[in-house]
Formats: sequence, structure tokens, C-alpha cells
Amino acid sequence: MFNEQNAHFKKGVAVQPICFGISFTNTMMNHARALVHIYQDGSVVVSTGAVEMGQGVNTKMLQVVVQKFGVGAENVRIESTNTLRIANTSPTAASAGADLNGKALEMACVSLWERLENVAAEHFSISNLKIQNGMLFDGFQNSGNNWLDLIQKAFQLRVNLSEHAHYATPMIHFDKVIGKGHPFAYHVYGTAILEVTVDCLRGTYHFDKVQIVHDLGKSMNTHIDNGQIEGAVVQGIGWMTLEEIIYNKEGKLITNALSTYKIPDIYSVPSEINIKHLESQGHEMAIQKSKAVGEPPLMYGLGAYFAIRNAVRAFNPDAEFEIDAPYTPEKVLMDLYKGR
Amino acid sequence: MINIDAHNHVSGKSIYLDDIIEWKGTLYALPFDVPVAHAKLGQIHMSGALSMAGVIAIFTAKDIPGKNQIGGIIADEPLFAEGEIHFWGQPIGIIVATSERICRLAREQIKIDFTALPVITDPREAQAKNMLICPPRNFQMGDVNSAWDDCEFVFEGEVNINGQEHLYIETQGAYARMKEDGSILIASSTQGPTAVQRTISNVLDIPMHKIEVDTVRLGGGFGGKEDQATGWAVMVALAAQKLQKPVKMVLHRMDDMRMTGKRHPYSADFKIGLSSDLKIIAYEATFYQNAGAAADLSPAVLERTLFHATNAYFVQNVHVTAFSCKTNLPPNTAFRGFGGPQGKFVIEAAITKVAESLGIPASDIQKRNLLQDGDEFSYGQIVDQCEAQNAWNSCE
Repeated sequence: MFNEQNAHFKKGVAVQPICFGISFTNTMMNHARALVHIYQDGSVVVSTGAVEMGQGVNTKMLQVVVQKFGVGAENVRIESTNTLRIANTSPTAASAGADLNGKALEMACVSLWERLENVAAEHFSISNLKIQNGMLFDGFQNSGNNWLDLIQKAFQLRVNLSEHAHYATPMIHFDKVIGKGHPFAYHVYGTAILEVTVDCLRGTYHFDKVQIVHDLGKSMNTHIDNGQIEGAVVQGIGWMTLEEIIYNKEGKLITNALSTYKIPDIYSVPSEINIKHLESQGHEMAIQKSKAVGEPPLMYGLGAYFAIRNAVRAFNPDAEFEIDAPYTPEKVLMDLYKGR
Repeated sequence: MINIDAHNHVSGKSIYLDDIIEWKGTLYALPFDVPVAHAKLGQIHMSGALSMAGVIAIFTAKDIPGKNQIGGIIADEPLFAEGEIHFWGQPIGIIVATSERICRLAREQIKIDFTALPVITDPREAQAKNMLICPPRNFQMGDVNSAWDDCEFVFEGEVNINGQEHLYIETQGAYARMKEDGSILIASSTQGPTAVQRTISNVLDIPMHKIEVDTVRLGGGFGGKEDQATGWAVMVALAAQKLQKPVKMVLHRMDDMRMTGKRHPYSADFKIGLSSDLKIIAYEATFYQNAGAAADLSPAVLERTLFHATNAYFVQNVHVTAFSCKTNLPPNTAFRGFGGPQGKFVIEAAITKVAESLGIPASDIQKRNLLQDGDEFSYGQIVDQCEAQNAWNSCE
């Protein structure tokens, strides 16, 4: 309808489903470690092999501890990633950082919790220990004692308040020689619909709307996960549209600075990005059933190429076009007038 | 819960590598290269730079006590070029000086003799000359060759996909100082602290227990610091060991862009066959990955392209082949998606080609072929807890 009424602006739409496997495909890399110390003042420090790079993994690690111990976030500090504290790490990559390190951290917390349960049973007569806001409960009954009482008692009793745990993803295997196996812990799914308007005089374009339904399982942090989805889809669109790396025939990088290599800015991101979380059960092998989110949503951006192509074809229906990403405004302009 | 770093990030209090309070006597390092992508290296004239006030030392391959080797998967990448240059931006050595500015001025004084050799930047050209990083890989399910006859529609085509610069806001960097007994502490902006530790151990010829790598946070990685943060950390560790002084290096943006690898460009050929009711019966694709001048993570990236070659679709007959092609570009590396996006792009292009030829929306084909529980991926894993159709239906 829009396209019939507008001679020089054409809209294009593409649907982009995704399916992405989670795990390092090199099976031996799928393990991680975590170290937790509870100090005698009740404060907790955590080290894992996960590297914080803006993706929010430290926040997720903190959530694991806070939820297990029932103490406030101010009691827990996530420390740097350090090879003396955590040895033999796999890189934080493959979207698997939170899963692998979070599972190891969960195991360390469970071991500490079991020791604390014993202390609570013997010395505070609590048979069903629960901790909420730092207060010790026996089931639903507030015992009047708090986290610090419990830790100090455990320390006096010479209970080990440190734990190091190791997690290795179960089930996975892959035979590289025959190319068969079960390499992934699970897959992440989703679908995006991308709508673009192309200015057919200039070859420029703008994404009006990106609508995403993404399978996060049971997201443990929707702020962080939405941030990852938004960032990834914009990075994917950038790759398919503005970001053009040019090496000349001599192998010299021509696009060697931000003046010649364009990434999406506030003006070129889609006007609207709507993210809906698919109601799914999550997966046991994801940390707290919260599925990996780092890489999969980048691939929604692939649809940007095909949305633009559909708009170009609405303007120039008879020409044959190559498929050569990114679809920069220069290439769009050439295609709009190809054969005319 | 909001991100625990949010307040410190927006108020500028978060500590990145270049914010670490400097240790007394810190020196600064800068890599130098030569403006050519493929050449025989001649003499390196360093006397002009070395005579400048504030220049402490210049280190090249001959100063390395252990192995001049930083390759992660395949040992094919020297820390410092020796004898030959294989890409424009390949480090030949580092200058160490009392300030970053002096390093820069000194870099202009280094003159390097070389004899240029032929340059290849195109992966298909490299493949034709059998310049491969590793043997080709292929995944197969069913039998494509006998399936084409069962197809109502068969289409073929060629696709090109360019690379992508990581453009992490924080450029590559590392900072090292000696502890006692030859132990070293290295702060590194890396996604892989153990890779840094292991590689320093090999290059400096000291055991891993003498190497402490500490990473507080990165100002973005996107895969660009999975393997490629390592070299810079090794360089400062080498300089710290040689000079017994703290040494820091944070790359200038243009050095970073020139010297580091990116997302792999791919070229690909596809052949796709469908039944009259738009079921994809067979899919065949050949991928030419532009790996650059050394393996880096390319073999693993190549494999993930094959894993994801059929995206969210079930195809009963699949044959996908991939070549990791050696060219004279900086070694390309991990980037969010790790080869998966390139694999998916090609089948999406194939579906688009079919849709355009038949005059129907691509979404008719996409929807018809979405995965469901019980389907099999070409690599043998059985689909379970599939949400492909649920996601599609809730998006529509």
C-alpha cells in the first residue's frame, strides 16, 4: 500500500528466524570454576573465570549468590578474573560465560550452604534453614538470628567458609572426524521482523521498526538481557548496512578510522525496537534456566539486508541483483537504477 | 536487578586497563610495523630511534627467550615477524620509552628494508592456489546428489559477505610488572586470561605459576579480545622481564584497526532444491572463509559456519563444505556469532533467491521449513525443546 502510494520511498520487510547452538563446539572447553570466600564479618567475595566486558555477567554472578544465600547484594562482591584465584579458564566467549561460570558458582554456594545448614541446625535449632533479607528462618518462622550470627558461629566452630567448585557441561560430545555428535547443551531460538524505508532518490534508508520475539527461557535479568538483545541486533544491522571494511589490492586497510568506518549511531538505529520474551520453559543446562543471550540476537540483523533488498526490488522490479553484504547506501543507489 | 556497574560506568568511576594507578617507573611500549602486506624482511635500522632521549629499548624477534609463537589453535603466528611479513600491520617489534609520545616519535625514525612479494586478499584466489589454513571441513546428512531429482525447483547462486570491525570502545592493552623471583603480574584487557598466561609462559620460557593475569573488566570485547588480546600482553610481559620495570601498552585506535583481525569475510556458492509445496529437500553450500595470514581461531569459526549452515530450518539432505583460506590480511578472529552468522546469511540468501524467482514472499519458504522437535541437525544432534515455530507464530 505504502509502496503503491509513494514513488520515491519504498518500504521493505524481512522476517529473520534464528537458531543458535550454545556451547563451545570444542567440547573440552566447556568447563569453568568458581571460588567463594565468606569472611568472618559476613561479607562474601566471589571469583569466577568469567570476564566482565559490559555484558553484565558479574551482575548475573552476584544474583546467583544473593539468591542462594538470601543476603543483600551489598554483602557480595564480584572480584576480578585472576589466574591465581581461578586457574585454567576457558575464554569468556560462545555466549557461555554466565552458564558455565554460574553453574560452578552455584555448586560452590550449595556446598557452603550445606555447611551452614548444619551449623544452623546444631546451634540455632533451625531444621529448615531459609534466609531472607539476611534473617534466618526455620521454614516460615523468623528465628531472630541473622546471617552474621550464623557466619560468626560457623567461624568459631572452625567450619570452612571457603569453597572452590568446578563445573563441566554434561551430555555434550562431538566427533570431528565424522562430523556427528551432540555438541550443544541447548539451542536458542527467536524471530525478528524488520521494516525499512529506502529513499529511492538518495539510496539512503532508515529502519522504522524491528519486532523481536526471543527465547530467553526464564530470564534471570530482563534489563541485562534486553540490553544484550538491543545491542546485538543493532550490531548485526550495522554489519549488514553501514559497516564496510575495505582493503586495497596491496592489502592496506583503507577504512582505518572512525571517519571511514561507520558504525550505527543514535540516528541510524531503528526508530523502534520491540522485544517480546517468548514464554518458554528454559533449559536445565542454562544458569537458572536463563538461556544464553550474548550472540544469538546479532543474527536478527541479517534480515536488514533482505528488508532493504525487498524495498529496492519494489522500486526496480526487473533488474537482477547480486547478494553482497553490506548493503551500503552506495550499493543501494546503484541497484535502484541498475538497468535503467 | 540493575547492572551492578551501571552507576560507576555513567559516573566514570569504573576502572579499565588505562585507569589503573600507575606503578612507579612505568615505561610505555608501542608496536611498530612496515607498510606492506607481504614481503621479505631486510635490515631493521633502529639506531636513529634508539639514540632519542627517553627511548629505553627496542625489542624484536631475536630478543625472545622462549618460542616466538602465539598461535592458539595452530602454531603458525609469530609474536614478532621474523624473515617475512604476512599482513599489513604485522608487529615486527616494540619500542619502549619513558612516554607514549616519545614512542610515537621514535617509531617514525625506524627504517625497515623489505622486498615486496605478491599479495592475495581474495579467499577464492587463495583456495585455488591451495593456500589453506587447515584441511577443508564438511558436514553431510542424507544424500544431496540423489535428492536433486526429487526437487521441483533448484536454484544456485553466489554470495559475498564482508567482515566487521569489533570497535570495542576500549582498545587493546596490557600492563605488566615484575614481582619477586621472576614472577610477573599482567593486567590485560582480555576475554581469555588463561590464553594470555599460557602464551606468556611459552614466549618468555617461564612456568605458568609465575604468571598472574588479572582482568577487572573490558570496555567491550565482542570476540576481538578472545585470542587477539594475547599478543599485546605478551609484548609488555617481555619488556617488563627484560627491563625489570613496569611496562604498559594501550593501542591507539588506528593502530588497533590496522593491526588486529576482524569478523571473517566469506564468499560462498549455494544450491538449493525444493518440492512443489516449498519444502527444502536439499541444500549444498561451499564456503570460502577469508582467514587472513594465520590461523588464529579460524578453524573453529569455520566449523561453526557449518553447524549453523541451515539456520532454523530442517533440511533432510545437506552437504556443506568450508575452506579456511590463507590471505595477506590480518588474521581474522572471533566476532559475536563466530562464523554462525555467515552460515545463516547464505541459506537466507538462497531462500531469497528462490522466493524472488517464484514471485512469492521469502517468509512462505522460511515458515514452511522451520525446525521442530525430533528433527535432526546435519551434525547429528536431535532437536528438542524447539521454540522456532512458537517464536515465529508469536512474532507474526
